[in-house]
Amino acid sequence: MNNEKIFITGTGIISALGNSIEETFEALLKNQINVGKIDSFDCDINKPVFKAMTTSNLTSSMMRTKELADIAFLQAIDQAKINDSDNPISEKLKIGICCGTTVASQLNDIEFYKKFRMGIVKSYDPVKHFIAGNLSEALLLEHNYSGPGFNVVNACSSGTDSIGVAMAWIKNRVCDIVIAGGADELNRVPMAGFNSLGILSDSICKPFDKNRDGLNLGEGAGFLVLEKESTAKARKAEILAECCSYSTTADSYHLTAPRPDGKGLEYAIKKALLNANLNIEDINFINAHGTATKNNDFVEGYVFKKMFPKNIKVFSTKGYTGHTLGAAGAIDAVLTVLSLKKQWIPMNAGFSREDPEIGFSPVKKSTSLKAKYALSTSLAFGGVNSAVIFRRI
Amino acid sequence: MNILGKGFADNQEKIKGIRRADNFAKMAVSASNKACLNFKFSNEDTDISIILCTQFGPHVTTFKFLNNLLDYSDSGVSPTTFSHSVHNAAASYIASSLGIMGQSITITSFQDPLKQALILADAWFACSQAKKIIVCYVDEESEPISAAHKHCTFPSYSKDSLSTGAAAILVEKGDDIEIPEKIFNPFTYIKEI
Repeated sequence: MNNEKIFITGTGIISALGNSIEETFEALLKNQINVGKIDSFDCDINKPVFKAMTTSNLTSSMMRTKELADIAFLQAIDQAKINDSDNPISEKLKIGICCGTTVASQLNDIEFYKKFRMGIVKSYDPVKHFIAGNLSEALLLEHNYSGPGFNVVNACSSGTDSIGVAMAWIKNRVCDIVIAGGADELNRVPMAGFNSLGILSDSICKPFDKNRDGLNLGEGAGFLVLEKESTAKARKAEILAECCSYSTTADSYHLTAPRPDGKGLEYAIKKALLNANLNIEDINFINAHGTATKNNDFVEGYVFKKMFPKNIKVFSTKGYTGHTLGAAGAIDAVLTVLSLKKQWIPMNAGFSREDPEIGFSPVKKSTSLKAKYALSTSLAFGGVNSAVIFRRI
Repeated sequence: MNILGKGFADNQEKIKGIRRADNFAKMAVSASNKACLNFKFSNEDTDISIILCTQFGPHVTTFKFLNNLLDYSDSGVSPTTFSHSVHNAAASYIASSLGIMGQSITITSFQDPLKQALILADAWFACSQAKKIIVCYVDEESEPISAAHKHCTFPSYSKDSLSTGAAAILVEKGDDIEIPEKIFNPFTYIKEI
């Protein structure tokens, strides 16, 4: 096993906050909430959504997730200078891709399926696009990387879990560099599905607030370039942060509800701390999953209050991005690295009143701070709890 | 890796606690239970992990959900059907059926899902992230995908293993099996190892 440190040398992001790291940071500084109505597809559900900000023409719904992924992916590899042909080491590198998603893993082209049911299908191109569009496999092919590559489809923790996979690959010398992240588009299927579960809010979401009443769906993509210390140094790459530790657990409890005692999340955080040789006091802030559903925020809040000192700084970014599903953990990871770099954390948008059942308040004002270690948590449908720890360089 | 047990889905099996699950999840649980038949895990064991791999995921349930959408409108769909159309529902059922709280990950790959799962399992053992891992491959046929394969030319990997079933192995760190260059058919591979 390779015991070298794993560094992050590139990040990329697209979401309702902006089309790049710079735009995203500007929007966070201004506390911009770019919420709107569904206009990418016909749908009889009228709920607020967070559509990705983009100047490019993202219109084809089948390929939208891939296009979002492309934008963030290219930012990340450009920053990390992976394709730098002047660097002799670049050609020898074994590069893998691990991407989290939900929508891109399903053949949910409604128009195609409607015609199929009626027996009037003229073209099976949507199936071809679906098979060719496995995000990781498509990106490997396009960029001529050797792999490995697959998609993580762990619902809302997929983006975080893809980082965990990347760390395991690098530690076991499966490859030198991994571009890990997640991407998901606003789509009619999750819109209808989450609505049927009764967890979509009619207003802008309020993570951790007493009056929170559900989530808003969003779309976007986030990617990070991870590599072992020796590779990063040999390539003279700019090091943005260290990816110290990752852990994940299964609740073993329920298909759609988190375990009320929070034991799964607690185990995941404890394991992540243990793997990084850190104590609870070492963590300076937490970028929480914080979806603004009753159950998620209660369990996360309960665990944070139980485990961390009272003054721990916690925020959720769902009030700025919406819940971007398979991209959420990766977008959170990029924002956590950005916060460590800037020594600044955004306020928890949407929060105003403490929930006595949770018993703590997230960050109410954007804050400058001295932070060395940050934790990012993701909870998923199916009872997955994932935690990743980053260190400022 | 050393293989401690293997199992294949029995479609007729009635498994307690998963009555509402779709066929995809039932097959995954059936195969995983059989792979773990000789092992009694401690309750809430965090050292046992799950890697579920698939090409297409529970797309029969996805099409059922699309039927819902088309027949009853966006606001008239079934939450149960939606829940089961999410890829990691099957892994969630395996975890709760066996009472394990280790890592649980579901991955998709059209080119070589089982090989990718084994590479990840090997990495988890090397990093001491798990003591035992259930590696489960599951896929199912559906009318639209089968029709597409009849009418179009797809890369060979997309139909190598196009069939309905699940196969699982329980593995631990060891040298018994080496990960092959290519696994053409996961069911045949698991039968033969």
